[in-house]
Amino acid sequence: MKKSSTIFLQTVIVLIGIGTLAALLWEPQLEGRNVNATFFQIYFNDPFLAYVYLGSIPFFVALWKAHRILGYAGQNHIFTQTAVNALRTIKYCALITAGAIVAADTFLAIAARTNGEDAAGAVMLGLIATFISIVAATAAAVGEKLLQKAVDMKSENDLTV
Amino acid sequence: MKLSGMKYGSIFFLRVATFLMGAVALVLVAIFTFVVIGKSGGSPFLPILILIYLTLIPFLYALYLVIKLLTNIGADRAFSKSSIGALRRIKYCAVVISALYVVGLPFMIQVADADDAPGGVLIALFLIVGSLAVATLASVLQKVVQHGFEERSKNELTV
Repeated sequence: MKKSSTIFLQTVIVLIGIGTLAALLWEPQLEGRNVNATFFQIYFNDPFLAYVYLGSIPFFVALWKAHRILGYAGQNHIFTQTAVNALRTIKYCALITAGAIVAADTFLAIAARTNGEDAAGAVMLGLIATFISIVAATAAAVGEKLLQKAVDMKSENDLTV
Repeated sequence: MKLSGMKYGSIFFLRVATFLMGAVALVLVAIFTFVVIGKSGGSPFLPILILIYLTLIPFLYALYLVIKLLTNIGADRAFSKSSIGALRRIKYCAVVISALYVVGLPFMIQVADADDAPGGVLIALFLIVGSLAVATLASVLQKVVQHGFEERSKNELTV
């Protein structure tokens, strides 16, 4: 297995992680209602923001696991139970993320409605993000079953004299 | 080995999602075409439009290959020559797309400058790196499927 391919992909994952983290930390600065607030008020007085930060944890866990799986692939350890378990973790993380986004979206939709605003754009974004998470979860699930089959095949081979 | 019901549902869902991606891409390109033509009669954007049309071809073909791959997985043919070939062709498609965007980079810079859109070049770079990442992923998966295929051959040749 060409190691350079997996290292390139691992770098891309790291960049995605850094980019997402930067966006998450910087986004409150861009909100209109935060223009005149102090630093403390922007970051620590906002329960929704805390929810978003908490909800982003499974995303970063999934990113970390994907990074590890690529490491295994590079060392030719891809047909191992560890890799299968990593895919299962990614699947659960993606599902949790999807659920968290749906909950946040519902909250946003209701909150905007009571304020008389129209949250169509944000809700739409949330739905697209949820869809992407579910696709990722499904792909991870399929990959997990495939890899499990390959692992079983390999152990059968390895145990045969 | 018979397919479990849940796995078939997952595969079907992924096939539909892939098909949707193709449909969405076509719709976005159509919208972009109308917006561009309506805005300025198309002239400065023409090379970009042609570029996007050109990249649509390998993109849609790659999506078709993904659906074929998913069908293989669903039919228990995951680790097969067909899958390896499909992944290899997906890799080539992604490389072609990335090369097209590299070639189109000077045009995109020109348009971004004229339109005063600093994000334009960034988008182009994302597309190039993204396509290369997809190509690399396809090549990694190809080697994994290759290994799986060899394991399966060993398995099936053992009495």
